[in-house]
Amino acid sequence: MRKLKPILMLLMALATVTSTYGQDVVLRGRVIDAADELPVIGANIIEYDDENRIINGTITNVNGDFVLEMRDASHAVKVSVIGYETKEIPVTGGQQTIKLAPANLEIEEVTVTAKAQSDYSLTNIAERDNASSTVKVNLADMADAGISSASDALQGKVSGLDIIAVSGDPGSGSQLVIRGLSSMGNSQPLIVIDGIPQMRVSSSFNLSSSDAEDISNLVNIALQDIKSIEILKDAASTAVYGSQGADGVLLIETFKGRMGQVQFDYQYKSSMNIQPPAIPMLDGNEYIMLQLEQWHNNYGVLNNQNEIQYITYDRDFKDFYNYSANTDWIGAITQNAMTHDHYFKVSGGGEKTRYFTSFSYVDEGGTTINTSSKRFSTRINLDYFLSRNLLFSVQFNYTNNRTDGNLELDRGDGKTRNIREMAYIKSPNMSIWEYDPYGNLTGEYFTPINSYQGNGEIYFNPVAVAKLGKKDNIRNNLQNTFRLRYKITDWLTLHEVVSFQYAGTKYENYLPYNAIGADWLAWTINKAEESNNINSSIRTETRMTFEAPFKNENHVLSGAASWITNQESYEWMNIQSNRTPSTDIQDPAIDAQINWIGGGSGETRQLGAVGNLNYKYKDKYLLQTIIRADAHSSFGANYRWGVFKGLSGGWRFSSEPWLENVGWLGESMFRVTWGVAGRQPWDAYARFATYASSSTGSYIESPAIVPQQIQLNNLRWESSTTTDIGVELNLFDDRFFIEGIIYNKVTEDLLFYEYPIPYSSGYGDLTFYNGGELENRGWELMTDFKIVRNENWLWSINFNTSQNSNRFNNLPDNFNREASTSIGNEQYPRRVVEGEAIGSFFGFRYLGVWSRDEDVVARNASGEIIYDNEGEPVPLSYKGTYIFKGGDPIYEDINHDGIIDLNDVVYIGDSNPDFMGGFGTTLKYKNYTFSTSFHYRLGFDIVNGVAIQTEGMLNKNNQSKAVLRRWRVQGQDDENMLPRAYMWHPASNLGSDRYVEPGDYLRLINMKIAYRLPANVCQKLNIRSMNITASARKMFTFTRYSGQDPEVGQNAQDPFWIGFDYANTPPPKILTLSLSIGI
Amino acid sequence: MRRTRHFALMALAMSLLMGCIEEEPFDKYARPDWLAGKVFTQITDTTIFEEFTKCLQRTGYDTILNTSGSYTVFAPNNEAFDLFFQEHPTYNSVEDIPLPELEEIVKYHLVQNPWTKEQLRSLDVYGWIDPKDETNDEPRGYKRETLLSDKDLKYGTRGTDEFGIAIVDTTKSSWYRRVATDSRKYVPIFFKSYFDIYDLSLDDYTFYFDRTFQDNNDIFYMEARVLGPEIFAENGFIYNIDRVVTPARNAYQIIAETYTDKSYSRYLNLVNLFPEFQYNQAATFDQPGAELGLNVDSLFELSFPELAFDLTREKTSPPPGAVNLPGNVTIRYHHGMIAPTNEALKKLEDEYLPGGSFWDGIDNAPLNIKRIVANSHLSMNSIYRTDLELGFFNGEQDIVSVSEDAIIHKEYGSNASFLGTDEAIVPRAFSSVTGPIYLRKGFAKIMQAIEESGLLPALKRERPPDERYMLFVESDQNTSADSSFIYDRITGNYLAFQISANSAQQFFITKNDLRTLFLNHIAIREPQGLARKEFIPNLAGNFLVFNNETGEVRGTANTTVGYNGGETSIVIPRRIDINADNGSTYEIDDWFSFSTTSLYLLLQSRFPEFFQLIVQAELAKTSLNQFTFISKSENYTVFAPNSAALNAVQADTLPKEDLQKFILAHFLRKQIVFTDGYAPSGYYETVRPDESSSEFGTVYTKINIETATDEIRFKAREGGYYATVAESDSTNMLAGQILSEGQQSTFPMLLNNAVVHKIDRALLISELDVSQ
Repeated sequence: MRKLKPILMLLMALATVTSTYGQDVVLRGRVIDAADELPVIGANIIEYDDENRIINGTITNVNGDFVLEMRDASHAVKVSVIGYETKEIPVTGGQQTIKLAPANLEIEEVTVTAKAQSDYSLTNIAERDNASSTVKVNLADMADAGISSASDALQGKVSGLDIIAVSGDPGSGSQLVIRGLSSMGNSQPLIVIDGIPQMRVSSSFNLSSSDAEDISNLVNIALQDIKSIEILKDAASTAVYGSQGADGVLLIETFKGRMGQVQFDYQYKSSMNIQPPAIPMLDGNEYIMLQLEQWHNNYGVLNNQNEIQYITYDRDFKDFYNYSANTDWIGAITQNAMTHDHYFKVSGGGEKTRYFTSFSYVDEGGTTINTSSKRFSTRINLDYFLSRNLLFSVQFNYTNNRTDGNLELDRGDGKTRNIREMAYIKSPNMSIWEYDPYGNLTGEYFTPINSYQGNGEIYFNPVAVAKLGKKDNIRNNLQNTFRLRYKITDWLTLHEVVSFQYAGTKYENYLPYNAIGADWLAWTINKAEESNNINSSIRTETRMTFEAPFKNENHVLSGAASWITNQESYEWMNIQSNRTPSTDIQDPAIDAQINWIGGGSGETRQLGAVGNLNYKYKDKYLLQTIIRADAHSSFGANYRWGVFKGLSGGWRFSSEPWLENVGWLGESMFRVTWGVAGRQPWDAYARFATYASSSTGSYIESPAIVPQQIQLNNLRWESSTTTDIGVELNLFDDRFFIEGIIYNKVTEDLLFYEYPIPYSSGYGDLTFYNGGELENRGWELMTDFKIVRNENWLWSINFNTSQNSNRFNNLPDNFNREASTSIGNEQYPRRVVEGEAIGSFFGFRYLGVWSRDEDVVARNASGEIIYDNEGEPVPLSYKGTYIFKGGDPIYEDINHDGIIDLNDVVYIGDSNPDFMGGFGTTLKYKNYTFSTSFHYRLGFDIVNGVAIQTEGMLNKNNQSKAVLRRWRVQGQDDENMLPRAYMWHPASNLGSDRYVEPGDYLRLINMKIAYRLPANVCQKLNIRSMNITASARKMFTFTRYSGQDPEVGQNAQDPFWIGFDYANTPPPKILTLSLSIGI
Repeated sequence: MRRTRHFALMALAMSLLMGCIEEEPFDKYARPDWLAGKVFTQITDTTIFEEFTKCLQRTGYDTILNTSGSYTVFAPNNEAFDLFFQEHPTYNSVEDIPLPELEEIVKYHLVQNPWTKEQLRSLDVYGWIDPKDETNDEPRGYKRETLLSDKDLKYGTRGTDEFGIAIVDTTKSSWYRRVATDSRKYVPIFFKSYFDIYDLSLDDYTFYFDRTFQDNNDIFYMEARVLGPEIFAENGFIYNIDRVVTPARNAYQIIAETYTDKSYSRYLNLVNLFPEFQYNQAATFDQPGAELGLNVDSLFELSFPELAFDLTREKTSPPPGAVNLPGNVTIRYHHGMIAPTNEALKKLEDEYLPGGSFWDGIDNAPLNIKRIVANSHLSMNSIYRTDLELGFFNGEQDIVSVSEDAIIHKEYGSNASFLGTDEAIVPRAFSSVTGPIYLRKGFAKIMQAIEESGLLPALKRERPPDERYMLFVESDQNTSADSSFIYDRITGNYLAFQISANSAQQFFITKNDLRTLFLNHIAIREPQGLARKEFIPNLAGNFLVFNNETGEVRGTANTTVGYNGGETSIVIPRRIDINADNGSTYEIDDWFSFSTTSLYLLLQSRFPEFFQLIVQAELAKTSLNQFTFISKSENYTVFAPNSAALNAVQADTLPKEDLQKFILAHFLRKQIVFTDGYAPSGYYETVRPDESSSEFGTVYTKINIETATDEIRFKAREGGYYATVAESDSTNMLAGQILSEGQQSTFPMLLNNAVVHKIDRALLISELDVSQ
């Protein structure tokens, strides 16, 4: 309270009107507790004017005494203090004794369903009257579960919202896709926190992680701060966010202070993150056997003795101990970890001031060694009623997030490899720690410059890199929002919002020499890297809302008009050096060899005008319209302004007189919406022609610059048009809630990034190109059944499901429909076909394994053997260059020409789920609560990328134990047998349906048992409330998928994307114990 | 009760959920039931390998084979061990075999990699051979690598005066060199197609192993027969074999062994002279402790670069000329050694290296003679019985055959087939014309130069009786005396000094010079002794002139004392060979000289009138000193009329065309005809275009010549003789050309391409017997 005093004083000072008049009256008195008659210290004695504005005030001293010089005797004076009833006192001279009665207000844990429109909304539509497709999720129930981010909490909760965890590593984000992929760019919804759209990544720097970055905004809010999340799915509702709304919008609302006694709440959650069992890999002994067999089957004898000595299991080999281990690399880099979550909040307020302050500290341990995430966040939401008509709010949010990760190292082909991937493929016969030739440990990690697998930098020791390397990410986010709401008349209100956002991110990487196998001249030795990114934005919003100016109750008209400006800027710098003199010196700025220094900056500006009109007739017929015009600096003069619009109609048929007698029908609505929302390119300078220094920096010994990027004057918005028909039913006294929606979303003028153009133009590509049309259509169903609802019992079941199918209606001119016609090992030819979905797989049909050499003959369509001119059977070959032998895989010769080639490639599946959704149940009995929730995705296929990598048996990578089923001798024909091991086989692992697996899964994502201490016990303990909760997360997954985790994300940036499981860290099973105390 | 209801509800919910899920798929990561156990487990699964099981257990290989790696185990069955104990009466059981020996035996039965029966027969260095392709005659990789290797090889060494380091018994040397083991031992696996492809027979297997193929599908592991099919194991295959195989020794180990009934020690001493030790830094540093700075022995590579193959190496190398082979050729190539016993070698020495002017035993002979003896008993390829009969190339590239009766020891070594003989192989360098040079003292310089010039293989080649070589050489003493052929030991150069009254000029003798010199001193046949002078071609394309009246032999120019000396000498060769089988060898006092006067200059100087006529007929390019009708690549015989003869026909008055025809009739194409009567009689083609020529082709007029001892006669058209050329100083004049023009040569490469005979009657076609 004391801390609030200066703020209050400041606010009072700001709000005080300087023009004073009338005679002075001095009030004197003492404030005492009515019960024990002890002085009340710090009570506010405040003078209000006719409009209930604060004019003047003072505070009682240690004796409870006060003196107030009134500005005007006609004003009212009220005494208030937290914990007591507010009391108005008579304005009379002389000493008064004011007795304050203690306030017995206890606010139960009730879920307030906001019936009124939110102050943050741009549309001024009451929630009840919303005719567009939105879903609001109350997160209060989730606060004590073992989840650390809102995206986790939403998974499986909302139909049409597909949430996929990017990785199980701490601090990693999620992918959120609303109603299917609808863009070639970042299909992530816009996150709006308390009415403020969150900044987006706007530079090309570090694009690879931008998906996760965006959503990390969700991670960066303490879950306990979130009151609700509203998901806007159709364009009729997202059009209000204009150019940013095409992918849907998540509106997050945080708790605010509320009137009442000051409340302290503390919550501690302790979670154990349990790494699910990894794919069983071969141990060292089995790996050696396999490798020898691979070489043998190809060459017979092993030619390169230098290479082979590592795997001959020769006890005379000096490195025998280093190469005869049975290392469980996956086991070595994984761990079970603990997460500690402390959350403290203070909230309360009086008539004038309401405050909410929270502090949160989460220390999350990763299930991969050396990964962790620590987050400190604080939030202050302050509302101050300057007068009956004027509300001033301040929201302040600060987050400090530190993530410790593991370095990803270059794998030699321009791509990087993380330690988990390395652990999967690393030779298990290599030891983690180095042995001398006599079998004694040397104390160093075993990081040879060259090992059996190859270069020690590419085939690094993942444990050494994890333990010795550093990849830290420190992020500071600050957001400060000032709001003013002025109720001009009863029907007209002015809102003014100014919001500042600042995000500073710092990356610190260090790779010491002893973590990798490299010689002293390698540039990776003691490599230090540091980068700093700063993003900031200023946003203003001026909004006028009005409602119901008519006296006629049949007609209700409301609406809003807003003017929005937004300015975002970014800057970054990066410095990278190597050969620092010691591994203890990890700063790239020391006098080491500088590899690279770079930096960049940029700025975008945006203007927007929004208007909407909402009309309601007889509370039954609703019509809502919206229009927004946006201008963005990313576009040239030709297409700078974009217009977005929405139209929704609703019919609350349950209010019709002819249905009034239907007792089981509660308030129900039928609605139709249509809207257009947009999307702008993420690159602030996409439209500009750019020039750069030539690659050598000179041309004929003179400095030279070359054009790099084409000027794009006609670059325009990508627009997404949604049509949506839905019905919402409340039945049986609101026990059953059913909502069904069908929708159609067409995205036009798709923004293609780096669209290839003929080199004869002098350029390789256009940075962005508008073209093509993508359509998503589907339906959604959400239900909620409260089966039992009485004084002691509550049992409810909710279920939601949705189906979405997408397809390219047309592709841009000159679009190369085939990204790859390569059919080599581990490659899937990729193409897009008009009328078919993104993510379709094409490949060979795998029919098993040839049992013996003699069987491998070409057959015609009737299954008869094809003979050549000399009467010999034609052997089946791969592209005419390799003749299949016994033990090789059987691929279906679709065209029966005896040659397995591109002509035998067929459609073999697709990555888009047919159905997805979730269901759950909650059972409450008195103070006990038990709830479960499930998430499922059905009817989609995954290319099991891990199996491709770990079952191919054609290189030096470690393989899974599945390969124990490999073919070994002529004539072998066992069930579920894999092809033979064969080093560098040209065609034993072609992209085929062998690795395409149904990804269907049903996952128990949450299970919770909670107990709330009874009120009488709490009173005895002198506390307000106490909850104990045990929960478990992602405990079971029911799936036929044989890979690590069927939760495989989507990559909307690539039209040729197919669902490939790359073995990210699987989500851990989390057991959480939570204790909450309220005072 | 409430709780029960609670849980019952949960259970119901869960069972509903589970009901929706399909049955769990099979556990693809579980070890399949059908997967056999590892090798040792499989061996112990049957009772026929009980003894071998004990061997594996005693040596610790039970664990190794059941842990990791990939093997083919050739497991001797219990009967094989019974046989083994019978052959080794000192052992009654596996326990009696000393552990080191047992370990060797066990390791030699363990082969790296899993080989099916088919795979044992279908591998080459390039990979798998398609067994279905019956026309495939690619070589077969028939050897496989075992787990046995000879570690810690030590060779005692001593310095020699002549040639660096020689190997001696380690017990007789205070210092030794440790040799890095190059490989594990290989083992041969025999099957029919291997013998077929090399045109060998199955008897060749019997020759070494005293066992016979029962059918064409038999596979033998050394001497052990593979019985039944392969037994599958997770990490390899097991074969049942009927013999315990003793580890094969390499060629060096066989001759270094001490035997009760024989010894190859003299031969061993010979080969011990040719080692080359090369420091192997990588292997040295690879030794345990080296990187920690601990003391380790330096390791060397041991090779025998002077010998046909590296006797101690387990990895065999491909024969010379095999190029672009992949690294692992050992599986395909095997060497051969036929080692003479001490007695056999002594016999060879007694016969070829007696005392006196000879070397008096091999020990006193120069190193190259030792090397030749050593190499003559080696072969790049293994030697089978078929080779013994048909002959084979030995390490000296001599084709030799060996009598089977002489063989007293047969063994199939790990890097070479081995035959011990009581009869040494006589190097052809000893038995051919080079014999005296190699075997006698006093020709060491020449011997060395012959090898240097690469002529030895040509000289020792077998010749038909009518084409026996005559080899003329100067002794070391002679060449030293006149400094015409000096070897500088320091620089390794050959030199010749041209000595004049006041000076001596030094000339380097290159390898080409050496070759020219020697080739010029080898007549390709022996003289008949009938004509006064005989002209016998030498290998260099010139002629040696044998004067049967005086016994003098010389080149086409006068012999001079010393190199290019001013004083002419008469050389009467002295025969020095004993009984060379391809010719005879002569000692001469001075090198022969050869004429380089061109035909143009010869005619210009010796027959000016005839020459003038040629010029008049415009058949000469005087500016170039060339005749227009003479080709450098043809030989000619010229009958040059003297002035009287020309005057008689008034040749200078003939019209040009007639004159040309007249002149060209005096030149015979293609053939050099001497007066020694060696050339056959008959029609010889002149350079004169015949009247029967057409625009489509030139026909040259052929005249009938009769060759006789010391005479050449021209047949007249009307019968009888038109003219005769008798041997005189004006006949048999040889013209030549220098082939090595433009190069600085001490002994230039010459070619005699024309001979000129003076004729005292001009040849008129109208009067000569010409071919129709």
